[in-house]
Amino acid sequence: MGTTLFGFSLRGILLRGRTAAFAALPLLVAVVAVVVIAVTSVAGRYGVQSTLTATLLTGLVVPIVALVLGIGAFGDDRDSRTLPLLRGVARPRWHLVVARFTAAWLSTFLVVLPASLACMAVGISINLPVGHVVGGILLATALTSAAYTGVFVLLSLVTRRGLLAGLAYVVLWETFLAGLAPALRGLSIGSYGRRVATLAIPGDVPVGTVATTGVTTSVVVLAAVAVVSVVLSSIRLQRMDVG
Amino acid sequence: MAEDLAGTSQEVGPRAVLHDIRYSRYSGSLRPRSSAVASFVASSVRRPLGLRRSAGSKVWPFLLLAVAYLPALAVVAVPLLVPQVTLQPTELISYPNLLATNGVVLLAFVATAIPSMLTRDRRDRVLALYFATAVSWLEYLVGTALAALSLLALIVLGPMLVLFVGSIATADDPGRWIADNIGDLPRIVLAAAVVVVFHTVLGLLVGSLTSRRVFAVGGYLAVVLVAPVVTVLLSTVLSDEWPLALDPASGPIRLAAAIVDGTVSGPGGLAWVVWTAVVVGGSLVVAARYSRGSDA
Amino acid sequence: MSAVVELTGVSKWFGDTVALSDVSFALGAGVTGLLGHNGAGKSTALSLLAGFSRPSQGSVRVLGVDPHTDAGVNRGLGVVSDGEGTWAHASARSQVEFLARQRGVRDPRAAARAALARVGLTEAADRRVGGYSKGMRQRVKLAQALVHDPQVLLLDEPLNGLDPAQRRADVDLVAALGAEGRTVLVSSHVLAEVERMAGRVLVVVNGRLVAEGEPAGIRDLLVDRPRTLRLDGTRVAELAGLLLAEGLVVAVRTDPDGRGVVVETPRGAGLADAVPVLARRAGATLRRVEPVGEDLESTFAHLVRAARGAGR
Repeated sequence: MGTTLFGFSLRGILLRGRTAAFAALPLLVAVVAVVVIAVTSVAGRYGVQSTLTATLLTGLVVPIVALVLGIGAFGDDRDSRTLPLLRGVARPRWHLVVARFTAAWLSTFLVVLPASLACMAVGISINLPVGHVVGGILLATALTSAAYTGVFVLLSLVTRRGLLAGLAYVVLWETFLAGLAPALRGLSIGSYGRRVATLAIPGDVPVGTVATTGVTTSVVVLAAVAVVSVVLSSIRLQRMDVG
Repeated sequence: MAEDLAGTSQEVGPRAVLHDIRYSRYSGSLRPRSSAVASFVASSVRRPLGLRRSAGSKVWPFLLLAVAYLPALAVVAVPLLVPQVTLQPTELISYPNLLATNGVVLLAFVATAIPSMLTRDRRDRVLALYFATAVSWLEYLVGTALAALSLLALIVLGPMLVLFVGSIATADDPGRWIADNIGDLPRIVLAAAVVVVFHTVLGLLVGSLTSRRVFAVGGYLAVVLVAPVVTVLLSTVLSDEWPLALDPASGPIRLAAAIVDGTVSGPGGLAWVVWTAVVVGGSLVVAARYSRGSDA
Repeated sequence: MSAVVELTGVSKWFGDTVALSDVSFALGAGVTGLLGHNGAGKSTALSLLAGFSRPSQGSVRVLGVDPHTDAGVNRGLGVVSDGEGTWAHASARSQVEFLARQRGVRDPRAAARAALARVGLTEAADRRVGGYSKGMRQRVKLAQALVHDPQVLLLDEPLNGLDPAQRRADVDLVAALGAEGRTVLVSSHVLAEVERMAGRVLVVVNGRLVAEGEPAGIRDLLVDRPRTLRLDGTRVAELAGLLLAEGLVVAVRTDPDGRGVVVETPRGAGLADAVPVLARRAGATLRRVEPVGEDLESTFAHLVRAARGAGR
């Protein structure tokens, strides 16, 4: 396990103290959820469920964790000059990208899992259909993580200022500009993610900036962003000078 | 040189001269230690702005600066250029509004500029070089903090001063306007200081905890983006305002607004406690991380 | 049979800086030393051969394929690059084993054990590499390169950061690798060590290949360079006087050990022609004519001087 491409990548990302430190963020969301369930009536939790799932989980926790782990997926190798070594394996280069991407994606998903579970708990507590709540949140978390992680892995390979570009995207675009005009939502991963998350949110509650497409289309868009990012990253890793 | 060696036959004196160009110890007077700190601050200010670096590294900081100054410049320019507009700039946008609109820009700027002032030197393991001769760890930290304060003042205080000066320029009777409003100036500076000091300490705090920039940036973002949502949520759920005071993103801005126009929105006392705790506690943590005086 | 490692008309530039200019060479089995000053282009050449970067012009072939595009080359290619190059978070054993498996070794565990033993890291193998000393990290890099028993080895300053005893051991190790029939290209600054490892050398100056071959052979081709010779026998002092009078030598001194005289000549070839004739005229009987200070160091120094002079 430790010497497969995926296992080695996963250990390099997930089993590090600094990754564990970011687990504090989803745990905070979980604590908030517990407080919410403890002190509010069922009716009072409707809006809270929307804020927790759409704004906090899909809109902030997932992109921040994905930014750190996605940029770091190849960024660590750049820093310690092991990228040549990593490329020096007798495997097609897209195997490397897929292994690193999957490891970063899975790590992101696992790190934010406490927050996902908390959102599910609040959703179930307000008597929404369990299947919709669990399915919607799992789907939204998994796909949003995949799309964000893919984009950040690609950015880290394309430019040395990948972190800056990713940060600009998360802070300025996702939390600021995308909300300004409906046309811009089409270019926001978060808005598709929130569309998927509406499965787990009561219908009459506002959920912030949401893509105008349907849930199915949003699922496809998110998956496509991840796949295209992995493909482009593979091409980039094949062509780039690493030493 | 050539003349020295050749000499001339008429002159009385040595026929040849050897010039001693061996390296020797510097025997002139040394500049005071404070100038080492001063040049350290200057270079620390230049680096995040991309000055003396490639054009590519200037794009991001100057984009943010442009966004930060745009509202203030716009409301000053409109009354100046269009005589029909009789409104004062401060009636178009108040100081607290200006602080709030620049909030996102400030967060983005702090995230990219401030933690990396510390992480870079740790990653490159150059601290020992600094501490060996040029500056002590305390001077290093004070210098970094001064540089961070000046950078953030550029983002926070600068636009407010533009608004102030612009108001003088557009006033019907500038002398009268100054006499009436001069009292705003110290309050503007104080308000900006509240915001700037807080984010400097917070940024340096996350920067001192890791040598990897991406984790420092992520940590700072996690705090300043997630906390507002969580505190608003808790405030709604608990039907009480005190959780708002815990928010590190809007808390200092609210405090600053209170200083400028005297109106307090939201909790005041608790917010000051949080502010003091972060500034004092953060400074102590950073100092503790560096007090061993070596690369950690 | 075509060469295992081949560079044909390769140039590499970064912006305005030319790192390598029209370099061609081919390597067969055995150890080849790559010599050059800092910035001469050694690391660029090795990184092109390792497939880390693409040439701006020309073609690179390792084991018959382009190492930049064909990842399969890594089954038979081991590289020690300069700089960090280890995963700090993993143990030496796990990363060497990982690389063994990813390069198609059938029993990665045994291969890792053997490679770590060969570089002398068996005891520390299960500790995190982050806590290793520089010398130990250097040996991890060597184990990474050796673990899949590659036919071609590219070693960029493999002895960096090692203490003198380790350096000696690793010089022997590299020499042994060459003797096993592998193609080894090793760069180093320490010429005495290269001389003990390598049967052949390539000399790079300012991005150009200025000489290649056996060190002694290169020396012999440099007939025009200044040489210092010791003449031993009877009446050599008189012979030296004649040489001086003919302008064939520029300096004469008696050997401090009392073994004849030492002469310096600006042109070795002319002296060789003249010595027999003049020796007869002086009535000298020569017992010994031998070069002084003819190590790789002086040859290299001359090559660099000559090449730099030509370039300016």
